[in-house]
Amino acid sequence: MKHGILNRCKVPEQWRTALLWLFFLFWVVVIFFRLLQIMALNREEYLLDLEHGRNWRYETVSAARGRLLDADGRPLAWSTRHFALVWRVPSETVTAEEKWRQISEKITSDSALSKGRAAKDRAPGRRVHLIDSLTAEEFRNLQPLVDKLESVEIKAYFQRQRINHSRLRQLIGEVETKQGMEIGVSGWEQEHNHLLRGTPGVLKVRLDHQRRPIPETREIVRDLREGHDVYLPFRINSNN
Amino acid sequence: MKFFNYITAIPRRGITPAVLICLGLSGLGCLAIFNATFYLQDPYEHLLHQLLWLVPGSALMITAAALPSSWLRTLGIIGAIFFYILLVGAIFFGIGVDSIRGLLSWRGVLIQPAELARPFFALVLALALHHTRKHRQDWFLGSTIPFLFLLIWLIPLLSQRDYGTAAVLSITFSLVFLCLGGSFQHWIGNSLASLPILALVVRFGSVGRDSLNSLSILNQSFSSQTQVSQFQHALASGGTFGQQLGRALESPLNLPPDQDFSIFAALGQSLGLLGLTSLLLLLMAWVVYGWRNCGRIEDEEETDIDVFRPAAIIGLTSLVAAQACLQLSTNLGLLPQLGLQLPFITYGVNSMFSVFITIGLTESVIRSRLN
Repeated sequence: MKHGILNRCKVPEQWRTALLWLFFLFWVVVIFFRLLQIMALNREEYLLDLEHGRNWRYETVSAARGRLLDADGRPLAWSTRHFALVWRVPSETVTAEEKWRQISEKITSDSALSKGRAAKDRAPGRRVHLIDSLTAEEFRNLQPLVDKLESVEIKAYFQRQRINHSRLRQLIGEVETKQGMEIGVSGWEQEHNHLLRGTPGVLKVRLDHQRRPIPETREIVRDLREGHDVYLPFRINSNN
Repeated sequence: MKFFNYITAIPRRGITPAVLICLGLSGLGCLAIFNATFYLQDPYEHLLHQLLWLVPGSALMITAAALPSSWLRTLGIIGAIFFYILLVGAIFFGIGVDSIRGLLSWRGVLIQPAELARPFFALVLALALHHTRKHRQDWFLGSTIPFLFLLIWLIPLLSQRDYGTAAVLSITFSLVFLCLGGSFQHWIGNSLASLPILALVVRFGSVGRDSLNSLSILNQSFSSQTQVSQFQHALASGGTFGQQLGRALESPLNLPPDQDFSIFAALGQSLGLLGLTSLLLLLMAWVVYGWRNCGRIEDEEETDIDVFRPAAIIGLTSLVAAQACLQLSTNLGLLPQLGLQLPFITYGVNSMFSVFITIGLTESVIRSRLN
């Protein structure tokens, strides 16, 4: 039987299976040379890069999601930025007690104090949101604590708001937060996600000998790009 | 009595040299896992977890290797239908972890139908190509029908953004199709014709988000790029001969243990380039093993030769080899992240079971061919 190009090349039938062997041989050789490059030829470069990486930490900055607007520019869905105080509870009880003592001196909110006390005892090794939405004054007062304790951080996050209209809310859809980014999962939010979703920025910051970030050394690696606003082709009745 | 004899013969029939080597590699995989996770609060947690699943996995492999050849075709069809239903069901009822949606959760156990369906895909593919062997040069029966079979599998996979499994199945299909005498022109033509359909599925039919961006190396998430560079740093620290054998200290600083590549990176740091080369040689040995056991596929004088067995051997061999090569390529920065796991070395239950079943079935087919 004649079989296309391989037979025109006079390849015996039983050598077709050599395709299997040659295909993977070629691929494995490529992988080997890549390993050789990383582990032998350019090893010094990678090790220098690693040393450099140890002293630096990369942080991502979430980009604001674009707004959904009607034809006249009335907002239907928009994101608001909030700042949360997050504590990574140490695994060891003694350390947790000591850290909590330092944190509780700076916190005045009763709900945050009770959350922290509960987390200290029952959630070792976990991240706990002590305060979900910091005010400007709280932010200012807690910044020294964050700089002092590595296990405490102020984390920015977005919360999606929607117009107060049940039918429109259904059409607008929902968003989910994933790795700090809001992603549309239903309705118009999903349909226009590629426009609404921005690109997070990346910063790098040098670490000191105790592996705490040195704020003055923050550098932008990649600029963030905020999401685009999307104008929908209808007008909401201002009486609704 | 016959059934009793069969059951008691399973250990002898199932334990072949290839199965023993695979069990040895699994042990090496457990050591690699301990090597990468010893620094954790519970240093034996991941190791014990892997050993726990190794027992049923090994039993599956030995049982699959002992199956009579007459069962393989029926088993292939039943398995393919069963896991295909689960695969489609995962689109609607599945849960999402990272970028993969196709997981089913049952009493705390995560089942990934896409992984477990692979060996059955290879068996049914072999069956399909066997039944169309007389029409190999016919464009419709010999080429388009098998391609439609592949498309039926790729569509639910791409809907769940399981690009890794889709790539493995595509490579397997291509190799089996071409090795069995399929026309290269038909392969090119049907591949190009399939691309728009697959692109539409990825763009509009995906249940995940950011489908297209995740395929581009340039547009991958920053964390994904960071993980690849951390992987390469850990490898570089191993050098040619390895460091800190048994205790890979570099990877714990940078790589979380539940990442599919961190075990290999830790192994690379411990064994060095020479040690990893031996793993690559083992991979090639597997490919050569499958190749040498294919046997004759077609002969000009015999038109009714059974091509199921050689097709199944090529398909099952290619599944494991393609998965390993793709996984290594993605983590060396040669290909975009596809979410695959390295056979034997990676910490993961579904992948382990899938590879064990594949190897067991390969042994069964080889034994039936030799008989």
